[in-house]
Amino acid sequence: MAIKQKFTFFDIINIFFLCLFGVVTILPFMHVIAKAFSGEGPVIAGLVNFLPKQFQVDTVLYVLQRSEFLGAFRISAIVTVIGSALAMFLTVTAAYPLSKPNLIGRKFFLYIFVFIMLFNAGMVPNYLLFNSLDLLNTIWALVLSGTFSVFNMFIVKNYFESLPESVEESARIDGASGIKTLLYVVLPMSKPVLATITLFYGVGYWNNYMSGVLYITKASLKPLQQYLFDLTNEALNIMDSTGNIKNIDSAMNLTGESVRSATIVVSTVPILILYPFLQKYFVKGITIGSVKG
Amino acid sequence: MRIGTNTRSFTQYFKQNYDMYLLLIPALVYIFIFNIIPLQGIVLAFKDYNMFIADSPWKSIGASEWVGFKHFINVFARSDFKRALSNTIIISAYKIVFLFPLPIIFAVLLNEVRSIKFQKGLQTVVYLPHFLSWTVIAGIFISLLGSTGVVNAALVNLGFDKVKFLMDNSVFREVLIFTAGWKETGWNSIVYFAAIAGLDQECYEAAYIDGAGRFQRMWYVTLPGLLPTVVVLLIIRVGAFMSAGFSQIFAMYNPTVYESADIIDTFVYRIGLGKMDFSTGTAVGLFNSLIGLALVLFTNRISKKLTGRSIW
Amino acid sequence: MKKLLSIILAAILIFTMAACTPSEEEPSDKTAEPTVKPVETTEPVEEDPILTGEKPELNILTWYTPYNMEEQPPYNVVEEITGYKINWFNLPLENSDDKLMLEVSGGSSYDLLMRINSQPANQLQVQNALMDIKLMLEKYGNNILSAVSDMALDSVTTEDGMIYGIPHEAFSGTGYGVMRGGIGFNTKYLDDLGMELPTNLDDFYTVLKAYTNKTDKPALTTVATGWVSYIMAGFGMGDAGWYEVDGEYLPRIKHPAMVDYLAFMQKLYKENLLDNDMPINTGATAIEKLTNGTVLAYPIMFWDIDSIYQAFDAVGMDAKIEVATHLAKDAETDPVIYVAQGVSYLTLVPKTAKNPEHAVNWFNTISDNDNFKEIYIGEEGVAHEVKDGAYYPLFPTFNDYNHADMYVGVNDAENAFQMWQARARKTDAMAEMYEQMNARADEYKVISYYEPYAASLEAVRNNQSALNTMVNDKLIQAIASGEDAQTVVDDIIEEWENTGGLDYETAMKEWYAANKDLFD
Repeated sequence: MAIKQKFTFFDIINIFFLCLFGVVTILPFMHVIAKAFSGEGPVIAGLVNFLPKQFQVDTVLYVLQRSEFLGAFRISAIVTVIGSALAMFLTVTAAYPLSKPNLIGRKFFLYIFVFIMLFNAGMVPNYLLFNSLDLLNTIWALVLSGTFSVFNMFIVKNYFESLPESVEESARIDGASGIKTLLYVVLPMSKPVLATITLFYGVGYWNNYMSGVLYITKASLKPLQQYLFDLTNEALNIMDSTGNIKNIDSAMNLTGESVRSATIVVSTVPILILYPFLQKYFVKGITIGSVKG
Repeated sequence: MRIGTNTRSFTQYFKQNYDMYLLLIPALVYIFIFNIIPLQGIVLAFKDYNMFIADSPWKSIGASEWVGFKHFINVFARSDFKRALSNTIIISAYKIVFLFPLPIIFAVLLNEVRSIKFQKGLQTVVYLPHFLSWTVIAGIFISLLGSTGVVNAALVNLGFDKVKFLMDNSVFREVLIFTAGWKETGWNSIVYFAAIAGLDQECYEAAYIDGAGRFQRMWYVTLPGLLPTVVVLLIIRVGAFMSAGFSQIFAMYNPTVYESADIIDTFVYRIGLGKMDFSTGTAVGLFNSLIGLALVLFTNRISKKLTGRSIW
Repeated sequence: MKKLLSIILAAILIFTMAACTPSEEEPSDKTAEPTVKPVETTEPVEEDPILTGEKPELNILTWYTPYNMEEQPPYNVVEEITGYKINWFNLPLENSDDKLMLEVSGGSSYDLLMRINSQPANQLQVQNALMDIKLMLEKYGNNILSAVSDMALDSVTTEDGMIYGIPHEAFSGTGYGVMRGGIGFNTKYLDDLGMELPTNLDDFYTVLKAYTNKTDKPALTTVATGWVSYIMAGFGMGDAGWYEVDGEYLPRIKHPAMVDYLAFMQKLYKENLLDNDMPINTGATAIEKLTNGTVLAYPIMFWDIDSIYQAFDAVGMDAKIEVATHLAKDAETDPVIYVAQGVSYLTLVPKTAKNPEHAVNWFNTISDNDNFKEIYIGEEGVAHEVKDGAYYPLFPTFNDYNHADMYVGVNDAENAFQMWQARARKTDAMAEMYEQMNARADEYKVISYYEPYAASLEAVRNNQSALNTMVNDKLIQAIASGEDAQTVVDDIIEEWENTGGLDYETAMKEWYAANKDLFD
């Protein structure tokens, strides 16, 4: 039986403020997009606000053809896909047993997970670990850093705990093992959380900058975020601590502002494409139907 | 470990449920290799790390000299440390109090809109700022909030004085909170949307049949449904209390607002410039983690008392 | 179930894709081919296998570049000339010194560490991580030895006579060409005011004041910094961090004119002659204010000129930029400019190098005068031409050499500087600006400062960056707050001394006493 809801005054106010929030959050993006499609002159003079001036697509095309960009993009794409798949596997397999309240040793495992979430020894030991494993300057160094997030695991575990026990019990009674129950009964009911965590891991990998800095010196393995960071912060490289220019030739070849903006825009597109696919799982009311009473 | 369970029933339990432990193995192996082994490096907080001392930097961790609390004292004894500590606490507390509830409110309110298209469209839009780095966003806000920027122009038009948003200690914190909220609220609401989507529709129907109005349904079904998620996220958030937002503050601050916005992380960054000193960073990290741990335990206990929920 | 299948299928697909990715090997993998061919024992003179034998691939780590070094035209030029294939590796933009330490101590095998800053280079030396290249230089490094000055070579020789690196000297010239920046003025606004380009502090103040009085807008804008060297010049200071004053060697913050300089900057700020947003200005926001016509003046480098004119165009501003280089104290005094002499970077051979002799040989080849020129500015008549003894670029080929600075070896500093000037002439606007800035070069008193040679001292390494940042931050605060200049400077000096400045000062004074006779 559908819930009937009248359209009230509250709805008007609600929608108004929500729209306001939406507008406010999209504006800076429009600003960056506008700069990406504007001529260099107006960008330098600060004339570009939300619409391009001296509209041109050359900059974006130039960015799309730069071999450094394409290489970094490809690396990040591969790392994101493999890494997210691996991460989902680790997360779901850990979350399910921990969501069973009668699991012996549950608290112990949770203590460990929370502990490693709070404590980490910093960049150097991580670097040394990858060094000992001979993984430096390989794509695996990028895939294997950040593969398991305790935070994400807690979200999945939480979700599993909120599912009604009755469904799992009936599967049990039918003779299914724990793993089968997970695969055939629980996971299909968990689409919202799986979509969410896939998104989180995907974005986490896509946005990861540190792993490139730490583990890679080969230019062809540079991930996209590091490439972007370098582009945005080039000026850092040029001056020494007294404010004097260290390297004239680099200073003379800094990237233009519109190239920077274009690169940012193009780097964000993949996520923008991914999200709507996952979004359809945030749909209400898919869980139950099979259980009454 | 549940001590006191007699072995007989554990063996029985194990036989019936060994596959649960099997499932745990991949994650445990991963975190053992990639999280636990590197933790050895925490001892660097108490040593003067010299990575060349032994054949390899790993061995050098063990071979480096013990210096006790030297690095901690070096940081804590500095004249500006107190300020950094208090700023960290204040800014972090503000952020939790004002910014933690926002994504929840947003998710609940958006959920009330009937049009699914509207919901989806707005969802797609509000997470966008999350993808721009703070360096880029800081640049935008500097233009917006500078003395020749749009906001001040509007203020002047309305008859007010110009406000030095980014150079005035009495407003800078507010600017930080506002911009952080603007950047992350949308993204942080995704988790709550998913949680709402997973709520049992039958509860809503039952409540409706019982005569509950929309606000009552929100209060008695949605919010309690979100409670488990909220509790876990809050406890975890509290564990990160000592990170008041390095990337944001580093990108947006300047010497005129150090007074109100210099946090421990930015302070340690500046004093460590050019020094190649890993030990100090590790020491401060350890300090932050210990405080985080204490807060997690404390908040967890409160949560148990108030809501009966705990993270373990 | 279907979902699981599709996930597995996808994973398989991806794994295959990844496997097809050419695997990037860690440098410590064996990429070296055998270097020694059996030598004929009947030959009266032994052939040196390094010079005549097969050439192995070399792994070279250098600092950050925004581009892929193996994809730039000079890469091929170098390979043609030397016959060696180079695998290039780069340090990251941030924390590069830390990463360098980790890479070297962790055993990654690079044959050469090229263009490393003196500070981490000296760290590596102190930690015994570098090879003594003295013998190799004598055997294979004739070009290198003739290119570097005695003082530079001295600075990389230890007390035991070990040479631990090849110095790359700073070349900024001491005559024409020494000016590369100044305070750019909008010529249209100057004309409207009926005023001329200022050359000393008094005129400077007058011009700024006239503008702000007329338009009620700030006349000068700068990025967030406490030091504007073009203005400091009027107080007898400059880019140098240390000054010889009455026989004493003093850090900039203790210079007798420091308080006057700060007071002057505070005055400009207070009277709104200096943009009050200075503490939050970035390069981008500051240049906006110049190009959209808000301010009259902004410190620029000559290569900024093209962007500025582009922006002027977009705004419809019909003006050019005239640059006031370092200001003189007043109309009677000569203007002063401080020029850095010293070693900018070092090229090192780590102990873990697999092919050290080949590496030195390679480096020597690219330091040969003709080779250097060919890599740096290309072939004469094709990429560049020589007119009246000066170098001019030829397009479009010259653009291939934009990044050649990272590929060359060492060469005589003055020589290299002349060649560099071809870059200064890349566009008409830049060439014009460069000319304009250097038109008065001979009026200037040029003071060379040598402190970069001291950069490798431990006390300097440990304290310089953090102290400089602290001083700069406090100056910015003080300029904005307008607090009494003398109090501020005393305050800064106290903080400076308490947080490592005393050690720093002692080390520098010792170094000065030992070396001052070598200064010219």
